[in-house]
Amino acid sequence: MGFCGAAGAQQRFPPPDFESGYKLPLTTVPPARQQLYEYLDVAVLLAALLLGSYLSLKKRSRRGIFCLMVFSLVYFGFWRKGCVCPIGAIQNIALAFFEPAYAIPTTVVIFFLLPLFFTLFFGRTFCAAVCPLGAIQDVVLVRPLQLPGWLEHTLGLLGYVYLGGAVLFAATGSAFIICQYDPFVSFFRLSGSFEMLVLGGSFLVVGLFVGRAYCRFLCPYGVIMRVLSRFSKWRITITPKDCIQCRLCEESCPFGAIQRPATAPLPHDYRAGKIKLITLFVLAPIIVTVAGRLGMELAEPFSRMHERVRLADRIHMEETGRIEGTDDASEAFRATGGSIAELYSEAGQIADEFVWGSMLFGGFVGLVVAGKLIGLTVRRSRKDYEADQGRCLACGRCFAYCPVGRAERKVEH
Amino acid sequence: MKTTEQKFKAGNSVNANDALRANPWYQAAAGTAVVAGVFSVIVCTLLVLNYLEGKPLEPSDPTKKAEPLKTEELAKLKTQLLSDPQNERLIKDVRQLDLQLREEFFHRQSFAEQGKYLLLGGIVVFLIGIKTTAGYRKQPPKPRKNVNEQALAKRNANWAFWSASVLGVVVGGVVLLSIVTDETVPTSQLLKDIIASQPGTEKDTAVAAYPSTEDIKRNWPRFRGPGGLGISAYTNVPSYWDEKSGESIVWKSEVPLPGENSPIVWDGKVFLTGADEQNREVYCFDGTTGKLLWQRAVNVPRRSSKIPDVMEDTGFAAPTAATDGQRVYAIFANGDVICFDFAGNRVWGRNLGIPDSAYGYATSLTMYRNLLLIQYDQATEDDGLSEMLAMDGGTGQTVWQKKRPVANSWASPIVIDTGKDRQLITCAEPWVISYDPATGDELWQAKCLYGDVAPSQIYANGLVLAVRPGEELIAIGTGGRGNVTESQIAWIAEDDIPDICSPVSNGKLVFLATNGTVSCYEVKGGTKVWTKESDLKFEASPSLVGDKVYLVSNNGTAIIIEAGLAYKEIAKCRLDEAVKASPAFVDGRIYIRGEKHLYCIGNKE
Repeated sequence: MGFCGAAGAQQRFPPPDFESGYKLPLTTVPPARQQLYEYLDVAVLLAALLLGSYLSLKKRSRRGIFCLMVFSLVYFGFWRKGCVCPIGAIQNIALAFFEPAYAIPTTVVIFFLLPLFFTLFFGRTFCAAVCPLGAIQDVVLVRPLQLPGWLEHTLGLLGYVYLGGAVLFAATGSAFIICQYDPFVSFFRLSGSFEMLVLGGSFLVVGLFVGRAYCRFLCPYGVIMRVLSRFSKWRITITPKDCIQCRLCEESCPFGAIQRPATAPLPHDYRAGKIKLITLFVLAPIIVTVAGRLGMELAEPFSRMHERVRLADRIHMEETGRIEGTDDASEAFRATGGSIAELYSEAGQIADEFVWGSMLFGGFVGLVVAGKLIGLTVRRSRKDYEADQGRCLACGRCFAYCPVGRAERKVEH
Repeated sequence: MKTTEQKFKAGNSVNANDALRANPWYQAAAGTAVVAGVFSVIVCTLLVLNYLEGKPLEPSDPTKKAEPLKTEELAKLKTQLLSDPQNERLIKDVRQLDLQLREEFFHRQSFAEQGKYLLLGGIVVFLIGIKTTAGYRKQPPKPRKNVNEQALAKRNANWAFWSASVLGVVVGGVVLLSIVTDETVPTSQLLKDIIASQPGTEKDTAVAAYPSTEDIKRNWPRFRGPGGLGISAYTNVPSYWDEKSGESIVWKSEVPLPGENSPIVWDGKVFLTGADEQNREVYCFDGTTGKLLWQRAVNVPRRSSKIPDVMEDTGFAAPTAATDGQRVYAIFANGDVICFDFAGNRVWGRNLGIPDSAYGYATSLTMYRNLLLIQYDQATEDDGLSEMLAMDGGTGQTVWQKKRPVANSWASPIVIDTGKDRQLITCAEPWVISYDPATGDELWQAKCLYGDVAPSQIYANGLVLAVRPGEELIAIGTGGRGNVTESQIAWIAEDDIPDICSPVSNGKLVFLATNGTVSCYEVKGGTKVWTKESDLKFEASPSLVGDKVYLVSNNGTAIIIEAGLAYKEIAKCRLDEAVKASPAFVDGRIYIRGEKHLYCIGNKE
């Protein structure tokens, strides 16, 4: 699939050196998509979120959720070719926040906010049935494997790093890395670079056995959802009534989002935990500071993500003879007759912005790590089998495993 | 021995498998999955082969996009066609191959276009089949045996805690390690340094990085030495040499590439440049031994790879280099400007675009303090292409740039000290223009030149002596402002005026050399003092050493005459090589560039 996409990518080559009688058509630019369709997308998103929430919370229908998921895959994925999407909208929001000259389309703002709003009330129904990235992974999941809990927790940190990086690069106007490295968009468009198709293919092959790896461990929007869904007013439950502790649902979640009942820690464990917790609270500011400082040191490589810095770097190397010849970008710049001094000055300012941005990025990562360590130290008692408030993707697979739910459905039917 | 439970489970499993095998829907789903899977693999393989077939054979750069027409065979045919453009068979072959390559390309496109939908379909069917099969094989939930939940939760939390900690430490460590081991200067720092070194910034104005007048006088930093006047500060140089006998020839070193430029010298290092159509080089020789200390190729990013159209006599490296004692600067016929430090490290390089010069660009470089001054005259005065540029020596950044209403020229600018101010004097048809060398502001101009201005002007006794080639020697005062054509021209001499050689003066007399004459005028009034016909032809400019004038002719014969009111030949010296470059004079040494060699003349002991 990857190779076919790559082969389908546009290739251009020059017209013949001789007269062939063939007249080259004029280059045309496709017209912009009509505003009406943009709002149609918003309407479809809203309808899908409403339906998804209804199916997961009220109807408790895995089949319904699956059908909606397939629809979303076809509409938002293959039809709309993965754009616009709330995940990528993070970057538009970040850029609009830091670059006043950037006019963000209203529909993009709605796309960003609407799923978050729904999450606050109904949990991650967007992830369950509306997100095309989640859908494509969900449909290929054939034989799910349970990952150890510790690995789940650790890999879960990557999403925060990705989110921090995406905001940093978008806010500095450097790159929209979420879109640039979206592993599935090449499939939706049936076209893309060979490397990205291989990356997406790898995710799908892994996805045969590891459920929704991108959603669980990398998705930056999922990270925000994870936090918000902890505060959701209504959310999915494994059983519609009281848990009878039958343990049948124990292994039903391919995403490791079912929490077992837990008793309060024993007194000596409690004391040890308390000391550990106090230590971590003391260490947290140090971790954040050190991470922020380390992040600052990454300003240099990070700043090269910005095309003006890359161009200045390239021109500088050319000017000082560290490399020979020119590339397309430097050739184009020289053709404009632009001032190299001004380019250097602009690049210097961007590099300065990156020093602050990278420090904040490092501090954010430090804060996440410290928060995770603190969170893992706190032991909460739990009476029943419950879906993890943050990690549950509301896919509804566990419904079928609960005998209480099955009995209720039989009664209803 | 299997336990009863195991036997029971095994029996159940066998029964379940038998039941599945008997289920036609299961069989259909499994079969569909297998067929669709195999189909998808085959289609995928074909697409991969199709993709690889369309890739260009450029293993050195796999990132390059495929260029379907870039084949060796077609390139070879096209090259052949260039040398034999009327060959009908070749034309037909090129057309056929071109068409064939295009057809192959579109065939691959079409194949990929259809293949990707086939593959997508195959994968969808495979997924439906495999998921249906998995649904049939789904086992009822089997809760694990009772475990100690308390211990399990604690263990999981501990593992997660330590794995998160380790991840944090490892990532932090890797970042730290990369910082510690990275010895390269960060780009942003480099950029800041460059910005800080721009003229006009505090750093630049606080520290004047240029040599003193005394240092300049001790050396020979540009074409015709200090001030471009052709006057040696030393009189202890030989007044006789002969290559045949070896007298006073200290060493002779081959110069790799040809060039009409003259040697410049700073602290015992002699710099030259050389170039041909493809290559441009800068050379540094040890002034004591003649050893080539370094030789650097010039590769500057440029807008056009076109080879400049130059006359054979001019060549590709006619302009003489210049130095400020820290760096050496060179310019070539294609507009490449390059700067190396004395160790041969490139500092910067830029290209000014190929100059539109009738014979090829030949104007030499000049320094004023930290500024490299380039007179970049091109085309005609109406074309508006000529300009004067001042670049920062350290960075190559343009400090000021002025358009000049003149035609292409070959004379080199000079910076003079009038006692009241510094003036940058330039000559080109039709103007002699004086600028403030620090700012580029025009001070005065005199319309008195015509033709291909090649001899460089000099400054003597308060007068600029400019040459209208072959026609006039014009003396202009420097005190005026604006157009001084009517007010500041002191005198004009008209006999035996050179068209290539620049004049030289001791302040009282000015000496001229042409193809066939050597003559002398008074500086004050422009009265001719004497003329001597000579069978020698001169292109190298005369030089003044104390009370002697050194003239090196095209065939390598040099005459040394008295710088006096009467022509008196003191010596005739010989080199076995043609010479067109002007000699350089430093302490006890004369450096002369011959056609192929650089000569050092001095007392051997």
